[in-house]
Amino acid sequence: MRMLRLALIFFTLGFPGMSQSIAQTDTIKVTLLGTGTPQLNPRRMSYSTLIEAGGEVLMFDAGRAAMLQAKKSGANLKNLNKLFLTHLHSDHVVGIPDVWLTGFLAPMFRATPLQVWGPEGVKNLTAGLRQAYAVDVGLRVAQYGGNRGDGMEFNATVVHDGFVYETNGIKVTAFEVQHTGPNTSFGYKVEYNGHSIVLSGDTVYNENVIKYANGADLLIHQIGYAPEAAIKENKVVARIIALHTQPQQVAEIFALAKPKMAVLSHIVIFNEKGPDLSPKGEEEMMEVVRQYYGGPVTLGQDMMAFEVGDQIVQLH
Amino acid sequence: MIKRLPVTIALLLLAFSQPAAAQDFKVTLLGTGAPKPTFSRFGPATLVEVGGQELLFDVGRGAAMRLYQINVPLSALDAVFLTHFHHDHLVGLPDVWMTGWLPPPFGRRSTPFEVWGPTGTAAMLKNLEEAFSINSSTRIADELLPPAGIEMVAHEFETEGVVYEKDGVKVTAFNVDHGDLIKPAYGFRIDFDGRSVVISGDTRYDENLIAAAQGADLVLHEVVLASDALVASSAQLERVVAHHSTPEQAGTVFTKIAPKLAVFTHITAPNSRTVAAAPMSSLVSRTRANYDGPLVVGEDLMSFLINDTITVIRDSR
Repeated sequence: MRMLRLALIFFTLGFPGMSQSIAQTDTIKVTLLGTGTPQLNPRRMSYSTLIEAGGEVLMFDAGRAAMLQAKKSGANLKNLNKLFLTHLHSDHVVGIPDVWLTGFLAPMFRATPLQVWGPEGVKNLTAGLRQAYAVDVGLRVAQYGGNRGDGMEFNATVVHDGFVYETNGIKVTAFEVQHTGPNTSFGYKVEYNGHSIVLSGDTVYNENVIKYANGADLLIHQIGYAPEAAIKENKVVARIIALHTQPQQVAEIFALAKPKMAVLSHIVIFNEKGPDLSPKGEEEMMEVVRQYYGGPVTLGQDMMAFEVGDQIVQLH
Repeated sequence: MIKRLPVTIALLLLAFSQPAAAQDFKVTLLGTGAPKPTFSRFGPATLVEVGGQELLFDVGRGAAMRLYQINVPLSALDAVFLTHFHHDHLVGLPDVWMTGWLPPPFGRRSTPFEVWGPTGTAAMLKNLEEAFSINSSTRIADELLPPAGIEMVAHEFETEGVVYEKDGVKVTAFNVDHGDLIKPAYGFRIDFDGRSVVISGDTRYDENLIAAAQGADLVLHEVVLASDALVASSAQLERVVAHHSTPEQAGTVFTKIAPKLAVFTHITAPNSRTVAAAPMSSLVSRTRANYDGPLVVGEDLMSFLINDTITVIRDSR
């Protein structure tokens, strides 16, 4: 907690034009629900981000504990009926059953289908889950009755590069990035009231991120770091790091895109022994980023939140 | 992050964590909650470490994280058992299954994930494999993970009886009563070396459970805590409460079984729009109306060592 407060002071003193005063209207609230990976790390749940604007609640990826974190965020979960998936790796989707099924129950009571956008395979994913949990769905519908059963359904849409969604002044655009060999991965841009948030998704260095994040208010980028020796010595580490953007590349992307604030989330760190979950590994990684990028950058933490308007305010 | 709750137990020893030895019989509450998303009580899941085997009963929200917190690799699970198909008992399964296959030390499963459950389990697992097929195919291609490790095998049972027997460990399923519509619904009894544990599953007061649990050392029982005023305030809550056991009913069950220790888990304390949740303190006092034996209100990561006496470890980390 103390570290967060210090970060906030540094933030407000260090970068003119931003202050702690919170604009009351027309802003976008962004909450990092999970900043981690598949690693079982109580400090970093797997990847998920919540964006609230214009009364809408949009979730981007649903990793481990996404529902717990969303509840903790204080967002109005009655309106959580839209989920955007960057890709279909397990750590981005394991939280879907909980978000979908628990969101139907009190006190959330989602009465409409959970809308899910994602790459090819998203319909297969939602159809499979609907069938897998069919017994529960049948029991809940019988218990609650009426047209409430709509809340137990999915409505899935395959996204392509370009426009995805626009309602209540919020526009979501998808752009292709490069992560896994066989399948397409996407980043997303969310625009509202003249401001924008860009999420890189999981990707190696990709020009599309720079293009879509050019001048964005907030760029949330993933990162993968391992010391050179670890990459050389450990083939598994090398394979995993090769699927992600390394610190120097992340710095280059920030320098070219020039977001008002850059935030790191989905933090992959390995050392020669395997996964490195220590703060020390994170410090080393941040040193490399800062060595190559002098602009405002924040190491994301679970439940860190930003209010994005004419100013960007880190709420906690 | 995991808040320490007030001590409500009779015995308190220093927490320690060590690999299960062949003669050990240890039960750990991984999640003592229900559907409500709260960090203090994760979804229903219970680990039974017995005869050198790691058995998981139900896989609620956060089960993978809880296993990590007590240093049990996800890949070390020998068998997973399901009581019934309500989602709060199942939403943690994708994480335990898929994360247990990944390269880090908590993963590396290279053989199928084996699940014992009521009729319907095979269909559920097949559909989960289908839902997450892109994760499987991508990681096989990109990360060269062994295909066998992401397969699932269902061992279905149609009726009550012995469902698992291996190296002296016997698991028996018995019918419980979770309401007229919610069938199948089972509880489990685990027997080993003259010692035994009963997990109620979700049930209202049930004579069949009492019969199946005779002579058990440790009984884990579900409970719903709601005042009369609360139940009267919401027709929906009235239906929910009717599917579970009240503290008084659980007290009667405990008295009729007379275990060495009775433990509450799957603890539901709902509220309605107009009436607050009942205070947790009323859980024990209401149970005491019908039961005066050893009783513990379970908390996440609480463990029980079953020997001639039962040792309670408040926090197993």
